[in-house]
Amino acid sequence: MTESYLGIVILGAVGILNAVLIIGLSQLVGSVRPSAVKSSPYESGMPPLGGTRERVSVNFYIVAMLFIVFDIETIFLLPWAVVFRDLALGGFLAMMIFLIVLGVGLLYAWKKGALEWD
Amino acid sequence: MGLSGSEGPEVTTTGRSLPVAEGERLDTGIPRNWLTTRVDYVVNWARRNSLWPMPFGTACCAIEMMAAFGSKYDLARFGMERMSFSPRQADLMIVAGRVSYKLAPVLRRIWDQMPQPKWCVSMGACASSGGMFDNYTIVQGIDTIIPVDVYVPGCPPRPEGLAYGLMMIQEKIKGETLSSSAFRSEAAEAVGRPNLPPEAIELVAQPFGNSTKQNRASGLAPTSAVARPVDRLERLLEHS
Amino acid sequence: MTQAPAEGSPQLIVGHRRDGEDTEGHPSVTALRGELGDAVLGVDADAIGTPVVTVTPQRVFEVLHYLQSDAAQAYDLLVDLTAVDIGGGRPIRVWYQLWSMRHGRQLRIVAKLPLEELELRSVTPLWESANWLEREVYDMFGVTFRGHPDLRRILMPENYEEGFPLRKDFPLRGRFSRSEQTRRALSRDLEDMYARAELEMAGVPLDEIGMQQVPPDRRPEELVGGQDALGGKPMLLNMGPQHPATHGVLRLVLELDGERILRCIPHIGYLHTGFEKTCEYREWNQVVPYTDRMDYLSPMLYNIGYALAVESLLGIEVTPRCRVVRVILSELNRILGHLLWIGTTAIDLGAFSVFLYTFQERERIYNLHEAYTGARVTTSATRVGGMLADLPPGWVDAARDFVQTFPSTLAEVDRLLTRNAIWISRQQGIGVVGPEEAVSFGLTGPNLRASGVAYDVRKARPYLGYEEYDFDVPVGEHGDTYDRFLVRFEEMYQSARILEQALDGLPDGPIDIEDYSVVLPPKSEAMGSIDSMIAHFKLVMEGIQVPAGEVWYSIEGSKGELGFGLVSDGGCKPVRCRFRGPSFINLAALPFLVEGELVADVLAVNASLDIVLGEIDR
Repeated sequence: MTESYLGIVILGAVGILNAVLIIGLSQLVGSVRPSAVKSSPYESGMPPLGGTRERVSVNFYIVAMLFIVFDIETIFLLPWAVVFRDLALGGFLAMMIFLIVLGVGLLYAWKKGALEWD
Repeated sequence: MGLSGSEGPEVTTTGRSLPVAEGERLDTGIPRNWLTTRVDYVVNWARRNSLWPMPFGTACCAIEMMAAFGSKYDLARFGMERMSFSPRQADLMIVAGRVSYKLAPVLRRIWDQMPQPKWCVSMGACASSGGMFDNYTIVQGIDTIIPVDVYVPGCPPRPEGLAYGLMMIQEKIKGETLSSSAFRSEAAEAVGRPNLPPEAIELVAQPFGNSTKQNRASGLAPTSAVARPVDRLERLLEHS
Repeated sequence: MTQAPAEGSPQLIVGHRRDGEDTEGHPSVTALRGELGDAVLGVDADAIGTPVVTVTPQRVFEVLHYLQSDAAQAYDLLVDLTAVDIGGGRPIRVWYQLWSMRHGRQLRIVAKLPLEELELRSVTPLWESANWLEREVYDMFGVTFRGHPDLRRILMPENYEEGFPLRKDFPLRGRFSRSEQTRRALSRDLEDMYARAELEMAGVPLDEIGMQQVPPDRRPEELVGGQDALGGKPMLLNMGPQHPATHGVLRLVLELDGERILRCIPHIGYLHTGFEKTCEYREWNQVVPYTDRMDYLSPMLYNIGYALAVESLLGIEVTPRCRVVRVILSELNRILGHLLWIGTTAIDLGAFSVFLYTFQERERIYNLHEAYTGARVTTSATRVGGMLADLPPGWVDAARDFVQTFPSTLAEVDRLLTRNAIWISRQQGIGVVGPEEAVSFGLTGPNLRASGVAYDVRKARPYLGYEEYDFDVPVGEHGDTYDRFLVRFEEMYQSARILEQALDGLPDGPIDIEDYSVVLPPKSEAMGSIDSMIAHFKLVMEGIQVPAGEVWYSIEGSKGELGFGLVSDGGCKPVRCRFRGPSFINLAALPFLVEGELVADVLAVNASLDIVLGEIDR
């Protein structure tokens, strides 16, 4: 039991260590020379025009929402792939129900035109 | 092993000495001893072997730079696999091609937006000195605008030439140290301003060679006495 | 009007390079003298026989309107609109170079404007391509065009104060000192970098803007976006000069509603190098290295076109061997340009491997370049009257080897791209331009042929013996991005066809002509005979003396019709070197092609126009 958790713990530890090292070393070793231009937004070398707090098209929100839903679905599929054989038929049927529910949602979104930009 | 760098020129791992005058203190307060030089070595090794170049390609040199990134003269073997077109993630700006005065503020701004550590390669004759274009519109060397570390001559330089220039940058990085802030100097009030003072700009941008004889020697009277049968000088001036 | 594509292959548009008819007998000249005789001030012919009709400045619009709309004239393509200042306070000449698709004829209309009255009526209502061309004439010469929708500088910065560069009274190195120019360049602020229309779009209060010298009766183009019903504002985004996918230092200001483009305003001039001005200070042969650097993707096409133009002024024909060598180099460079185009288009749309494959093929052509000229990119291969040298031994075999093996790479790219679902869905139906629109925008080259207009200068006004080669000109149907891709792809196969014929039919003989007033005599003669020594001396000290006259000569470049407008006063340096880079006019159509498309489509359309900033900005 602990062996399977050991892998996850090591993965987590390496991830955290990696992030800490990258940020920590940069703080230690790197030089900080802030300036007004350096902090300004990058727009291909031009000074940006117009505000950034403008209203954004709602289509971006829909795309983001759909992405999150199907991304989470993928995340749920991954551990199932690992224990696929152990869960046998019962697990398969449960996952199929899960996928069909999400598939119906995808079909609905498709028919409603949410996958087109406009 | 000395402390605080006050014993005169120190020798780096490459066998060359830092430009430190005898008795000069290196200013970050980090002493130069065996440990810190080891740290310097590791930091410099990491920095020079994983440079992320930002190609600021404008003209013909950009095509040779693209060829250098291609399969035959692969620059990825130097660690420059990942080109960054955003200055925020770039270490090295390669200015490849001629820069006009219209483009100059863009160049300066992008240089300013690159975080430290950063280096600059001026690729080609036009970026280094204005090249064959000594005229109203081309910047006579980008070092008038931004500080340059390595100049690669050529019109355009061969991809191997660019690779040699990049290796020179790597050598330069090898000789850096964390104990001196001179390597990473960037004054906040210098952003957006030219890199050289006006007198220096005039000095480096002086006309030379044939450009001092830039006049239209032909005039309207041909120097050759033979008038060709197809000569239509009269008709050209007919309705003037 | 234009040829509509018929069932089967469209009719090729064919004209005559040297009419053989005398100028007064030219049908358009006769028609003009008949209809608008009082507007015609004089008729002349240029070095290749094109009639040059000088017209009163006040009647130019009328004359051009007649020439465009009359069915017997039908000059539907405005090939070029430029100006010539010959100095000494003399009037500035504005050239309108015209081509008729239907009748296969070319004509030039010239208006002479005294320096105190540099104004003409704009011809933008007649041809869309006149928009940017007139802006350039304004920028370089100070000629204002009444009725132009948006007359402001195009190549120089928005608030450039040194004057009008191509005027003869403007010094080559500018009016200000270098330090002053640098200081001004770095102290530009918002209103120098954005046009008035863009500042309005972003809602910057206009009274705070110090506007440039645009007279009040010239209103900028109306806003398309503006406020929508819910009070939102469209977003202004810079696809700035420094961008991986704009194929150079091109700046596109996009007015966006979400991902949809309401308006696209291109800004060019970031690579303006002053070629045309600088070449006025160089001898005729010294201009050749400058021509490499404009279209640096297919440099020899510029070298060859320029040499042909000067040779037409001199009235000389090169040797048969030189003609075939020039054809070989032209087609190799056409392939070179198209290979880069495919590589960069693919990488813009995400297909990285194609970039590597095509660049590997380009390396092989670079090897050929280097073996012949010593340089890979900036070849400077031609001289007036011949080439820099004869082909080295073994070069022809290497070229033949390339021609036989490179179609396999093309086939590989074909397998990867042509029927690829992603490629097709990103390119079909995007950036559509119809045949009449394309001609009005002045598109030439594959961009025009993809819209169904079968105009190729190699067939219409054959040069270098192209009429003797057996090749087809691919023509598209839909005028969308995918068709432009297919046309260029097929053109590479056709270039390979021409190359095979040319390599097999390469005659022996001298590569340069025997005229020592144009070409350097061989050293043995120069050291031996006194005449050759004198000729050598004159050529080295003074350069070639080109007889006074003017010419407008065009060839089929890899991006479109590549034109050279040269004016000589009999001396050894040109009075005016006009380089009509096809990409300049092709790019002007971009705003119309991307209106209403998504941001990602801008990249696809921009790539499909195959632009090179060197020849746009010159």
